[in-house]
Amino acid sequence: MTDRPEMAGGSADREAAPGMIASHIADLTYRGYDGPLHARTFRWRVVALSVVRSAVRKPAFWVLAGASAIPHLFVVFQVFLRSLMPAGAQHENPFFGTGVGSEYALYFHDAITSQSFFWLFVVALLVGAGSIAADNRANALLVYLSKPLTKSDYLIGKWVGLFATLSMVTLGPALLLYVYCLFTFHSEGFLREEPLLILRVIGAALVPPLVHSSLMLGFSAWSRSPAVAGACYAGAYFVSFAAAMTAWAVLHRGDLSQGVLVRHLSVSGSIDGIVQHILGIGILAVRWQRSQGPAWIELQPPSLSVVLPLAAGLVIAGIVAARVRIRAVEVVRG
Amino acid sequence: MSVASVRSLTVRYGPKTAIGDLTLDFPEGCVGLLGPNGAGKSTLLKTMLGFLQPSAGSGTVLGLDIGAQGLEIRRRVGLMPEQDCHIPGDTAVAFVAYAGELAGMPRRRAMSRAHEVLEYCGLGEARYRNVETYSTGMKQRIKLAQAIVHGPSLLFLDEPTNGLDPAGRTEMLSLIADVSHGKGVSVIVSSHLLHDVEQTCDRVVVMARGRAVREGLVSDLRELQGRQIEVELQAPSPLFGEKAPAYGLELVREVGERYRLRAPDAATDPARAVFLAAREAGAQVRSLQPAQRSLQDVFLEAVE
Repeated sequence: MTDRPEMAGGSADREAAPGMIASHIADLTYRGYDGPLHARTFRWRVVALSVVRSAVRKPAFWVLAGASAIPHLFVVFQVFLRSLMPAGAQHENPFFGTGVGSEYALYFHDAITSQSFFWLFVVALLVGAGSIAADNRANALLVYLSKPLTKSDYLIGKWVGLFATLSMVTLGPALLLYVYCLFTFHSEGFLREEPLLILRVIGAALVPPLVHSSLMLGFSAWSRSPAVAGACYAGAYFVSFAAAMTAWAVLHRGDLSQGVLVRHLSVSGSIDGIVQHILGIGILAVRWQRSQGPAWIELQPPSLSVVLPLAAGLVIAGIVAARVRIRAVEVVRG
Repeated sequence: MSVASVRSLTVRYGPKTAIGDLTLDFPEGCVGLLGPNGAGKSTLLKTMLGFLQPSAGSGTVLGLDIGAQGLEIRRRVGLMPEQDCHIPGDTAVAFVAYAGELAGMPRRRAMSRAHEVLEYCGLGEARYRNVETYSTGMKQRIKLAQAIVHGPSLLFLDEPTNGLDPAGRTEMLSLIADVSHGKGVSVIVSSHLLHDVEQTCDRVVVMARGRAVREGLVSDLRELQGRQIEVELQAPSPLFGEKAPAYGLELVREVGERYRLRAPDAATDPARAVFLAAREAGAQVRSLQPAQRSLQDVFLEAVE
């Protein structure tokens, strides 16, 4: 903190200021501010806290955050049923299966990606669509940036606030699910078999907030209306998902276990791919053939050398797009 | 001592020059920046805040370079922008406290200070209301409150009375006059409303087409050269204008039945000369009074 010199016009000025009405505050004259000021280094925290406060004030946020734990509750139900079954029967039914290469991680993959695909996306829209668009519409950027605050401070604050809010939504249920699994499977060597699972879960739970917050900010910064920002992001999100899944299904209809990479060339696909790598698993998918009926196929994780740059590119693109658009003054050239 | 100055400042928006080779000093106190729309007033304020980079020239605000020390300038300057700038859903006190926090004030201090300045701006208990429910006048007051919340040494007020009714305008002008006199705060008021500037400012800069065309103390600018009188006839009379010089009067301006005349010769009795000229022209004098030059006259002369 730095101390400010006292400004002229102290409390000695007792004349009533113009336009006053009766008030409980005794001294109504204007006085300069001579209190402490924080250094600018962490000014972004003010913006970040404002984003978090604004989110948690909305009842819809709590409703959606609660609803976003439904995939985790479903997994808890699965785990509970599995715990009731004889040890040998647990791996005969894919419903209780643990997928490729990991005993327990698939549970977390299912919970995290299911939550991310819809519920977290909706929370991101609720919290993030208006984060910069509302400021654009209200011309508030001119006021905010007229304070000793840089565009980077503002952007970092918005991003951290949104990321922290979304991370609370993903980490909370994921950690509770971990605790539930820990108590349920402790006797089966849960910690012994996968001692680093907690770190993998935390890492995996942070990927969706990372991507959603960056992209949502990018769309928000380029809009003057939260609704438009949300609609654009929703469009890009679902269209990229539908295009990737359609391309995968069409290009590899003979053998869907091939061409996994195509399946992940979307926003949600890249998140899923990174989460699979962090958790160290592949996944099971249902293949339906007229002659053979449904069959489970194993899908290996997509190539990390593709999905990691893709996800990183989405994150960077969102942040750069926001940075380019954030400005105090709209300059019309020409 | 000047609180802000620019030297040969040029600001361009693409091929359009918004400010061209402007050299100007803003002394302490309340200075009015007058000019028609598009004169470059807002551009000048934004450049002095470091939002726009000048194409050429330099400037200082409170001794700080506008090209390199924008952040430090904004720590010591408050801006009341022209447009509305409130986040829907916020209360006034939350908005102003947030502005204080952005200026570096600790949260508790910012909240306490927000209450103080909102009281000062006359918002009273309305400070807890959602800003969407505010009248235009109240919104203007919030903008002033957020501009002064961190105790700036210099205030930039951009069209502070925009959209206000006469009562609201009077109250806002009183606030500006109050904060700019004896409180250690210098104020630059950008406006195209001459009356506002005339009421609140000690000095005036008239801008047109990106240049300063007139500047000085309001009292100096209003000072008339020679003795001038304002004459109102019953009906317009071109002959009156033609006859007046014969009695030692110069015609300064003629608008309808109103004539402004100057008596450059100290020996001339202007009142007697007017009546003589009117009698000869067959015109009837309805009123006769010493002329006062308004800021509007200064403005019109400067921009024409």
